[in-house]
Amino acid sequence: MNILGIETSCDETGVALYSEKHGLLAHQLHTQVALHAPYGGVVPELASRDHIRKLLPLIEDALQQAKLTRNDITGIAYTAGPGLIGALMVGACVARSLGFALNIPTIGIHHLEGHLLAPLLEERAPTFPFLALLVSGGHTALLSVENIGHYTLLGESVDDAAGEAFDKTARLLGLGYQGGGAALARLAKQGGPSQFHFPRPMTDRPGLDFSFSGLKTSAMMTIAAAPKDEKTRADIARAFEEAVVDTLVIKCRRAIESTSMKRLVVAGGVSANIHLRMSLEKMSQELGIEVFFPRPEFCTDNGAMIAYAGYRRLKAGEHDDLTICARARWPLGELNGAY
Amino acid sequence: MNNLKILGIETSTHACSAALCSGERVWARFEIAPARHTQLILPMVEELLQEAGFELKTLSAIAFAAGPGSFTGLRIACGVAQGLAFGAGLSLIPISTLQTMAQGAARIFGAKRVIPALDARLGGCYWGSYVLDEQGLMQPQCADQLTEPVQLLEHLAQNEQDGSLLIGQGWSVPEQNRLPEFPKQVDFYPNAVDLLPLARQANLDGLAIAPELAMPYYLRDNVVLQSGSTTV
Ligand SMILES: Nc1ncnc2c1ncn2[C@@H]1O[C@H](COP(=O)(O)OP(=O)(O)O)[C@@H](O)[C@H]1O
Repeated sequence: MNILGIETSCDETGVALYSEKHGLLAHQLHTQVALHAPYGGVVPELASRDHIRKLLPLIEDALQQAKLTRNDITGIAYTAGPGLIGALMVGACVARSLGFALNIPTIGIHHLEGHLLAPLLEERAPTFPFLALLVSGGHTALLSVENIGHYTLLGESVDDAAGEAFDKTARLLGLGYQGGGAALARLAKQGGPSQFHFPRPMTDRPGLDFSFSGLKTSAMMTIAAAPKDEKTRADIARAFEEAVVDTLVIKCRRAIESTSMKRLVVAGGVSANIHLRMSLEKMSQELGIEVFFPRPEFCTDNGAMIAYAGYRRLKAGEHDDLTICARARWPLGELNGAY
Repeated sequence: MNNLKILGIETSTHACSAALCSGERVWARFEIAPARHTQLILPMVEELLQEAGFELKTLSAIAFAAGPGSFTGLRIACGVAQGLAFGAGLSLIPISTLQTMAQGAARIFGAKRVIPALDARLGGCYWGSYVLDEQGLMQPQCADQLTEPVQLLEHLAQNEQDGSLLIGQGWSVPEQNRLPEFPKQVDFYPNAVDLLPLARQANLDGLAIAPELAMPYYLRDNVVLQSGSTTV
């Protein structure tokens, strides 16, 4: 099986080829960050227009990288949601039609299932069952993963996602749309211990839900009241990062203790955060469990994770009919089984 | 050259259609189906191929209505056409949606001069001006445009003789009752059947292109409003 994976849910066009025998054969990514930067955020219509320009050329690049031709593709997986509907539609239309023309099965994948399974692309991959912390720009959730398509939602954010809190705080610190959490983390590295302290929301009560909007408000007030010099900004960034990381670690520890899971998988854009990785490694040693991360480039949106999720579902015999499927909203709770 | 096999795909407006020809024989599907294009288009294509008994890869080329029209609709036709053509190793022929409508008016009403217009939202309309040539193909008299309805009416007053047929939902503007001398068909949609003769000629003229070069023809390029929100 050679599965083509296509990701177009937001502002990255991702294409990859995954082989059952040889693993990941090719992976191509085009990011639209520079296109949207002047507007301070993703402009949906511009995103859709760019996806349709870049998708086929990226598919050709991926085939070339893998030394395959289009006739070697045996299945196609594409992100069917959630995300920007116009952007999703481009990937879905091209993917479904390409599958029809090649007479091979296609499957629409939940974007978060892609993130969730990204660590399985690594050589040191977790086995089922495992606990998963999904921390991306749009979602923060803890799930129990029994197998492909068998997920139990244990807790999620009641308001903002962790990545969103990173992004908004980065903007308040003058780091802009392009910077986001990664830029905030770089700034935090320059910071030291300080008088700044942010709350660890919802850690003082039972349960596995998250809330990050209060933290964002608190950051906003702190930043407004503080001096604007580089040192102070770095100290604030560090205190903010610590608060988010602490909160995530506390909830993971709680989830591990209550489920007795032996493996923790961390995925989504925020899982690229070094401080979070180190803190979770430390916690895993204390608890005697194993923790798994995707390689940094597969933490954010990419085609490889979609190709892999598609490989697992297509191998299990699932596939689409001729309806082209794209859903802007697709609740995590509906992630199980077929659709 | 006349037994070219061409598939046409059209999803620029509320209508969704596909058509297939082999020489003079034509198979077609058409449905008014707002927001259901993604459900209908591939089943339509499959039915046409089955009825005709052709395999996709034995076709000569695939034509699609490239625009102007609904941005999402244009990307559905373009994306589907790209996927089909790339998979089957075929080239693509983009055709103006307005020209396709004009060709339809010739087929249905025997029109010789047509001014198709579509609602472009935000107080604008897309329009073109077409005249039938000796081969029975609608040819543009000017480039397809995006203007305010007032400018379209001015163009009409200055350039067109009586007898031009006005087609399409772009003519559902209040000012239309200032144009009593022009016959109108407001409830008129583009149809993939009318892509076929235009595509046959475009193919002869060497206008078929590689799938990755085929793009929607939006006409509206300033899509970022001051608020940061966008048009659809
Ligand atoms: N090193 C980092 N530290 C913290 N957050 C990060 C880091 N790198 C990326 N992020 C965050 O990850 C998010 C993007 O992740 P992604 O999984 O692509 O999200 P989504 O798919 O929901 O858009 C952004 O919110 C970004 O700020």
